[in-house]
Amino acid sequence: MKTKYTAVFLFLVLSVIAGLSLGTEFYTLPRLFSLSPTDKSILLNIRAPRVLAAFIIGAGLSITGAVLQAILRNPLAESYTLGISGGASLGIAMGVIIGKTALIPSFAFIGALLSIFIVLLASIKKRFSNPTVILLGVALNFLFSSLVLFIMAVAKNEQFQSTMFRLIGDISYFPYQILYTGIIVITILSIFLILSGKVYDVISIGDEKAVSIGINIETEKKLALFICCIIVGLCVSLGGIIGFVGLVIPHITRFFFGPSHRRALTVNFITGGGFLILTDTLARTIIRPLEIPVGVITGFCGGLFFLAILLKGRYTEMW
Amino acid sequence: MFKIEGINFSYGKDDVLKDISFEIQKGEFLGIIGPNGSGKTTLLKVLARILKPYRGKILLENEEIYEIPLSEYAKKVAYLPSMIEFSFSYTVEEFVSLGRFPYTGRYGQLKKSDRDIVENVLEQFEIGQYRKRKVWELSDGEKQRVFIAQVITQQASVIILDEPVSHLDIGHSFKIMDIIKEINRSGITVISVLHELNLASEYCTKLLLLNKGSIFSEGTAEEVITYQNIEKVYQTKVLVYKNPHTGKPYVFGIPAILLTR
Repeated sequence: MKTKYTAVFLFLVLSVIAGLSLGTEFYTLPRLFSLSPTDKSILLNIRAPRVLAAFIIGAGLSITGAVLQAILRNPLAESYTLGISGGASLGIAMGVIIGKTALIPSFAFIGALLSIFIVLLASIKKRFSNPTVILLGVALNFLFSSLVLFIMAVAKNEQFQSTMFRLIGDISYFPYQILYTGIIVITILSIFLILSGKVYDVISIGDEKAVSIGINIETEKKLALFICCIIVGLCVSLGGIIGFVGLVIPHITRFFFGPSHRRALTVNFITGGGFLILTDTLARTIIRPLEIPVGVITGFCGGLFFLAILLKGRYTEMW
Repeated sequence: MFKIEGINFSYGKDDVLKDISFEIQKGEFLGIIGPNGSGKTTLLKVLARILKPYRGKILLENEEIYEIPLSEYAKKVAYLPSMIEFSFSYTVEEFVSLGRFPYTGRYGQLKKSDRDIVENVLEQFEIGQYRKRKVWELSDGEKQRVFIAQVITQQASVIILDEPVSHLDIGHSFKIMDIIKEINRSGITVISVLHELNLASEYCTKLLLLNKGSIFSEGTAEEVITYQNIEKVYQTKVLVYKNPHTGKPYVFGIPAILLTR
């Protein structure tokens, strides 16, 4: 176990180094030790915040993915496949129309809450199976995305369009004003989720079992969903819809560290953050000097992973 | 121990449980029997506080159960559903330890005393050698032992089991029932739904025969398992003899198709 933790720590350190030194400007190790004032300014004012943003978005998406999979007992659940990200992006589009930039995360949160509400209500009423819940989430995502695209097409305002572009899943234009709020709020909520790990352990073995072990299932699920919506709302406000991070990272983490949530959620937070720093670095170096949205890369990796889970059929055994 | 006073429960339209009243004494092994759809599982879920009756009272040691905080209730009454929808790949040890949740609480850690309890239970159920195996890799018989072990680590004074042996072969059935009987002899009250009438007759100290949501008959095996009761409730021809070895009533089914010839 100790070697595994060391590996996770090294992964984070390496991804941070990669995130800081690679990009339009390459910083080799010798160059890092003799920085000109411009270089320092690039590192401190451009690279470092972007690495921070990528970290907190990745961490938030992964930890919520793991929690959603546990409380819904659905291996395909995450903010993207459940339509929560889509709802958040619609909320953001609304917020932009109204024109209160500072309130955008709250709009994102409301949008996120709205879509999870629709998904859960429908799946409880209709007794949907796990894959059907995901179909519903994906359908909602399409619906919300086309609404966002519609708003984008109608609005000719330039600043507005750049916001819309960000919603595709791109960290290059993240709104600096909410970065630190995002980091603080997501970190605090994640610590709460990690500390509550035992609750998610018990819920993951079934509602009836959880009640008989003394867990107030309704309250706990609502609380967890509420927290997930806040985190996802902030992540989407920062970097738009970045799909599948919350699916890939929790599964890989569970494979190496087991399902116990205190441990798994902690590791998810770190590896999810590191993973998004790396993919974001890849997004801005792969066809340098052009940058591609990071969502393209996570979508590609995650899509393949999602297919693998589906095609494996007995996907419950992957847990 | 448990006192159930006139409870009614409904999932929507019709009452699934109709004016059920009975009492369970400390140390009893109560078997709940009855045909499919007679309300057996619903009754267990009501006792486990998974479902709430719309009328009536349930007292546990003279205290209304809904007055007891859920986390405290879990220390007194433990429940094993007939099916555990299995998801994550917990190891046997991790899975059994989850039974200690009522004692560690949300933020707590497993203490030395908790670990000792888990250790003893693993030993008692002879599953210590599988501790690092994943639960879903085990056979059905082994799984059932792990599930019951988790219930026991909860250290409740009443355990409620829903068809604990329904999908096991005769050898494993007796093995699991022996384990449950042993638990019962150590002073724990057991309430169990059993599909197999003869197992209920052999192991339980008291039986409750449900029919269409009401109690049809209540008492010892000799009082409840009579051919009149069984034929009436299950709508089939049976013979009831005594098991020559134990003296308990034993039900023989008679295929109706053979009688018509």
